[in-house]
Amino acid sequence: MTRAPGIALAAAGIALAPAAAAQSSWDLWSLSGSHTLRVEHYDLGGNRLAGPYLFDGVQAFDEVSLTATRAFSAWDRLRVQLYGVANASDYRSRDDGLVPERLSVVRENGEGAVPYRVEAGDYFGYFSYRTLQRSLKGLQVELQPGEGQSLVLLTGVNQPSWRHLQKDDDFSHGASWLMAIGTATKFGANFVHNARQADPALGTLDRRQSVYSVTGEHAWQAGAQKLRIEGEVAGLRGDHDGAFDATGARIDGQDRRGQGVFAQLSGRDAVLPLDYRLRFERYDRDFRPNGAVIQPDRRSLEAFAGWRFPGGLALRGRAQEFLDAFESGNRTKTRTLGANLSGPFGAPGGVTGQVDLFSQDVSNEAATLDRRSWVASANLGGTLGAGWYAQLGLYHQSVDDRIAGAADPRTSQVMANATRAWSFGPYAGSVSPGLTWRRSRGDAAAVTELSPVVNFSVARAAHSLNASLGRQRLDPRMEGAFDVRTTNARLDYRFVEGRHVFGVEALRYDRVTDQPGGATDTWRVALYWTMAFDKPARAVPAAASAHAAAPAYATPLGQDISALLALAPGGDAESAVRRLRDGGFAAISRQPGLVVAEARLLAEIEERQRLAIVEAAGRIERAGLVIAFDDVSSPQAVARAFERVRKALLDRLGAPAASFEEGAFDAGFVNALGAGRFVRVMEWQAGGGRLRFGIPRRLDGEPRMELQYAPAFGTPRDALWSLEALR
Amino acid sequence: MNATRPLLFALAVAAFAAAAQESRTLNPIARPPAAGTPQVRAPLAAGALRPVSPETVRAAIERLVKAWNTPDLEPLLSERFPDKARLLDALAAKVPRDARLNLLAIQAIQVLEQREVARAGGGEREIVSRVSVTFRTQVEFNDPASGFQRREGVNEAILTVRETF
Repeated sequence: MTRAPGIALAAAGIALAPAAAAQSSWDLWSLSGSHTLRVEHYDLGGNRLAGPYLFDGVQAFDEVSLTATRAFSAWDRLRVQLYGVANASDYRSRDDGLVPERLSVVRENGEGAVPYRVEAGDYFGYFSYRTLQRSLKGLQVELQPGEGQSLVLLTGVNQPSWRHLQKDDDFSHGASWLMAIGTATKFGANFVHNARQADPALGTLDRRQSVYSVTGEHAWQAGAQKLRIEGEVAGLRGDHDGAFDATGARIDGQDRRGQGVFAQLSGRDAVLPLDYRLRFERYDRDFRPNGAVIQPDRRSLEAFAGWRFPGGLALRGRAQEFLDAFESGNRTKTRTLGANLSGPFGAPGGVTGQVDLFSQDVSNEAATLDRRSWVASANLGGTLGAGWYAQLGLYHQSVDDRIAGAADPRTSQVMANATRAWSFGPYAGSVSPGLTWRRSRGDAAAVTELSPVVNFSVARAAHSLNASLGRQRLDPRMEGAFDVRTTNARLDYRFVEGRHVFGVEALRYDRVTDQPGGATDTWRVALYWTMAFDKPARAVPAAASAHAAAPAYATPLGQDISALLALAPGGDAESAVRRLRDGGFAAISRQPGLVVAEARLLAEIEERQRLAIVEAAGRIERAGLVIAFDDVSSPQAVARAFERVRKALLDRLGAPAASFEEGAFDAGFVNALGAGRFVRVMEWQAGGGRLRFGIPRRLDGEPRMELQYAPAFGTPRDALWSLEALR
Repeated sequence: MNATRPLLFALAVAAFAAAAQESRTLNPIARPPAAGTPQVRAPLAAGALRPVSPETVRAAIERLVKAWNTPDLEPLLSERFPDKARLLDALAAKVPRDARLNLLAIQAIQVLEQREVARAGGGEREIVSRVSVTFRTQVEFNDPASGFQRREGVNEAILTVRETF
């Protein structure tokens, strides 16, 4: 047995070290999962068809997810997944009682002469877009007999429920062979047979079809151009659901043959910030694979190109032509030209966002359809000063219908909102008022809409509350139509305690109109409790667990990460300060509720580091290590600093229990952080709570890294978790 | 509202293609080095391959649902999402502007596959998980002529989740 480096980690209760005791087979299983009990009550007044919910009264369910893994060796492992619900809710599932929703057993073994992967139960069958891409219930076996070779054999049914499994409704079996030569070249062959039984209710016959295809892909460089070409030729033989011709007459789908072709050339310049893509697809009317994701009876030609400017702005253009009903007569042609400019615009306030414009011509051979549409939209955000972040959305659509007597609808919309973060003592949150105005003209759907909304959030430690109140006022211009006033109110509260999350949600939807039967007044209240559980593959040594329960405060704190791990929430604050002094920490300063020490706990990190303790009533409420960025004007420098600190923590703490990332380190990342569109969070379970590392959103807008030790945290999207008192 | 149907269909393949191109790719099975057999990098320790937390999945689905019929949807869909441009055009031009997607329930979550990929710059390990999620939604909007409208559907999304260790 070996112990993970750093006894302090074990003392903090982080389950990193393998067990010393002899292992039973149970010890070799790793278990994790969660269960959620949710009870909702719906009160539906007025006409329930005029509101968002159909079923009233108490609706409840208890869902469980469980994942068990066992490694027989470094190359041989087994994974079992179960997901199910005990249901008494019309919203959660259409079945009551115990409902198994996902069952999966996966064995992957690379030790034999032929490495294999076996999946039983629910699995995802994927060969190619033109042959098979869908969830199946059954068995899939993959063999990898040699370098770069893969053979997949599968059989299974496409059915949403284990309780209502009907093998003959939609049964597939197939085989796929793939040969990869390095990373540049691959080719393969696929075969899928699908059978569906007749359905008298829908008037369909028995259908059996075989789909086969060959695929190829190759990447190379020609001068400064890095190119990749890929393609697939596919055929179908057998039955499909049938189709309709230009006159609306039904075309029989029995014993048909169809073909599909796809080719794509993509590339990018090795020097210039240019990328591009040319794409061609052609599918016969009778090429209708039941498990594929293509549109039959269509020919497509598409071209895309992009250019990235030095400041981070990206310009993309596209030209597309689609011919639908390609073999059915009366072809419909759709031509689209579009451009999109996105990224940081560099205006005052650090405006970021995107501007999009496209036009679309749609016409058919019978001249019953001839229409041009223009759509322009802009969505921009930037700081206004005084802590406000504003977003503006503009949209305009204009339709020119060339058919005599047809309407030419136009729609304009303006959306504006502003968000301001705030704090009061230990509470922090944000308030965000907004307004949407829309006007549609020129057709029967003419309407004017005005929708104000305000969102509010507040959080303290493990408690968080979000509320919103919105109103929608619709004034139709059509003769005989009725005005509508809708009010939406919502309140969500959640409390996180270790592995437990408790929450309350309340919602009210009120719709008022003079239209007979158009009014409704709906209430929904929900309570939920989620508990996560996790059993590592090997038990935590008993001695370490006991140590974690009673941290020794008597010894001086070392000037490394163990100092933070020793500051478990709930501990005595005065003892902690003494231990800091005994440990040689310099420049310890105190202010009400806060102790701060200059501390370089991560020795290889050059940026300024400060250790902070937030105290309340003499106890440690939370502790944290705050690491400043030397230069926030350079996104690249910020990204490098963040990666260095992250690596330092991974070296010390091991794999995190959870991580969450969103957004990129680009020129607009500070604004994105303020707007909640940039998230960097990693968490480790610890004996006294949880450790979280990331870049929180701060009320002063200044980005910095923090590693905090607290009883619990809100969701990764609750970005206001910074130690605000420490400036 | 006809535009509902293609969206619900399209969500079934959301983000899946981020990890693959338009035909399957090789996901090597880790195997020990042997004479005459090239070594595939050793797999992660048993405890390192862990399920993606339901909280992460729920947050992703809630974001996807909230982004529907808004410009925020575009960056959430893989570049190889089938007919991505047509879907976004249809949302922009055909779907009522006040139409919103309401998440009724998340019905099932399953990790389909996890693999380790090389991370630019080296050093850390990145685990890419493909996660299948089944969830019930309904589209809600007000039609000036016929009043409140809703279109319910059951969707399956394939998410790509990247975690760094």
